[in-house]
Amino acid sequence: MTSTRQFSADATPESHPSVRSAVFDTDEFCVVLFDERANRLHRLGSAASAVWMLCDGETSVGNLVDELIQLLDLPPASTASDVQLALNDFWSMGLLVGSPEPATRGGSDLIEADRVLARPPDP
Amino acid sequence: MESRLQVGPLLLADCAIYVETNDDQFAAVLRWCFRDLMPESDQQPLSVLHRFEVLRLEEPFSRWAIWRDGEVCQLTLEEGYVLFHLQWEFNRVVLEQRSATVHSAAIEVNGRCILLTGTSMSGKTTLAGWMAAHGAGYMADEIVAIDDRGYALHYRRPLGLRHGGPLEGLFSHPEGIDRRFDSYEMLVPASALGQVSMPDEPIEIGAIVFPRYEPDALPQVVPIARSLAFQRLCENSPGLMRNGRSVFDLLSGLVHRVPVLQMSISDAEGAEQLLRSSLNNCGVGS
Repeated sequence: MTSTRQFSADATPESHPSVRSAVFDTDEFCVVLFDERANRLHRLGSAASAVWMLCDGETSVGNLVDELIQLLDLPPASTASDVQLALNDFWSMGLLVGSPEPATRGGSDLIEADRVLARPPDP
Repeated sequence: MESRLQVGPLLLADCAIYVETNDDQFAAVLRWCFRDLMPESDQQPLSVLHRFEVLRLEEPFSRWAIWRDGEVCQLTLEEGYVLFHLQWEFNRVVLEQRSATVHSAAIEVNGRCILLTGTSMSGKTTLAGWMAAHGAGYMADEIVAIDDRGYALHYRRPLGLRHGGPLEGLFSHPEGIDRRFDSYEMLVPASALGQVSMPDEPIEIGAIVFPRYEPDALPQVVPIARSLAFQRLCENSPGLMRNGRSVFDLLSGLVHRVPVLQMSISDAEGAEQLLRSSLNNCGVGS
């Protein structure tokens, strides 16, 4: 069963300490995550990567949305809901502090939010 | 009491391996296949030992069986598969001994190690063998261990070749070698490909190449995003699943540091030329 959660504007999502990040920002902007508990890789699209980088436990969801709109020139109307989708995916995959433990072991996938937020095409 | 033959020591990942068998033809095959793992005469003895027993059994039915240090590995192996399975057990020893490992072949070009990484049938072994037969150093096939500095360690296991591949014309089996044991896959020592150099020391990794065998395609280098290269490297890293963040960070640093290339290859000679020119263009080892 997938766990979902609505994040309020003043929530401050934080990446789980068991999740390791590798940031690629030379010719692309992409974060690859490795969840040690599940032995699972996640390669994020650029927008999901930006959301992830702001999951620092200090930035509120409201500020996160504002920053993304400015940084990535995203349309304000849809960005808030897209950020909710991204955070929900992080949450359901157990990547945030307080989210359910990841259920699956092994393998890799793309964060679901990349269907919504712009994912860089594979060259 | 049946007589046993012993082959060894074979040196891999700081371990000394001895294999006992009750089949003299199998022993001869082992001595040929694994000759590149045999030590120089002045090699210091190693403290970690593993003993494999590989026995042909006839009761209650004809089969082969493998034990490692007295524990059963397999009890019902077909004759054409037993050598391949033994090689797999050797790979396991390396995976146990080394923390950072990737599913790759490795060669030395211009003083740098080139990782040839990818899934089965991608052409990495063929390319490694062809390059080794044409002046590159042979470092490893199938499993490459990487130390904390990002240097690759050699593992001179025989190349696992499928029948009918482009390397078949480069070697011949010694007279009298029993071919019953290679119906699944041929294990061929790299030294059988000619005057192949085999570096003794760890070598700094200079590039990561993802070959992709496409029989009808022109050989070409296709750009690959570093993040995707990193994901593929991680997916091909048994060490990542065993050792977690230290390997993740090591591989991440490696992918950030060295050129990453994806190559479509269709023939070994064309692939060699393309790889050499691509490495030169990247300044690898220059």
